[in-house]
Amino acid sequence: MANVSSKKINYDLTKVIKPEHDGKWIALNDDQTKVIASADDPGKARDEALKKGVKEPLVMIGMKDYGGLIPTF
Amino acid sequence: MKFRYFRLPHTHNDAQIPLIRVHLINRQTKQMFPDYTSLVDSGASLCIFHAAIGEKIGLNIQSGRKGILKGVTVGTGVQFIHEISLVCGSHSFNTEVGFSYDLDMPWGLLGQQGFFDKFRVCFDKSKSEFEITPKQASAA
Repeated sequence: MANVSSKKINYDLTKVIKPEHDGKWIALNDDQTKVIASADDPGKARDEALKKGVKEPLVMIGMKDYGGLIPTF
Repeated sequence: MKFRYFRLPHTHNDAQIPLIRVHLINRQTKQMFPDYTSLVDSGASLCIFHAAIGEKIGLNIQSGRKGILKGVTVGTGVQFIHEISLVCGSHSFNTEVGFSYDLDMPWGLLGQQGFFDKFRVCFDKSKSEFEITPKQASAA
């Protein structure tokens, strides 16, 4: 599992996840610097990333705006 | 296990999100979906995951115990409870979790039952880190 003690990994996805990924299942590359695959199905996104040589693609749903998930006051 | 907070597009100011990757395993067939992003969410009473992920590990989602899901859906949703194996870091355990087609979140949710009852969680926002310690290990 990628955690703090692992190799250098990018945790700032503000410029990695782009508007075109909105609503898609996305898979990131191993250092989390790039969306390597996107699909309507999480398995397809993951499989495509594996085919491209990613060993542990992180999978989530892309959104163009994550702000609405976090209450602001 | 120490983890770093994530930053995501268009969150308010420097809002940071405690996300980790977990592996879900079907206890019967051993099918696994690894590296699924989940939010460490003390506000969730149970761990809730997308039904699409449950299908990937071979679960018949709607055969699970049916329950209501609120707060993370558009309106009121439905969840189906299944017992699976969940892997967080090097720690693996069996737990009941909910799967829902109605989950309107980009990640799974790691809630009180099935996560906070198994791990001690310490958030340290000033360091952009949080630490998760299995309770059994910390008590030993």
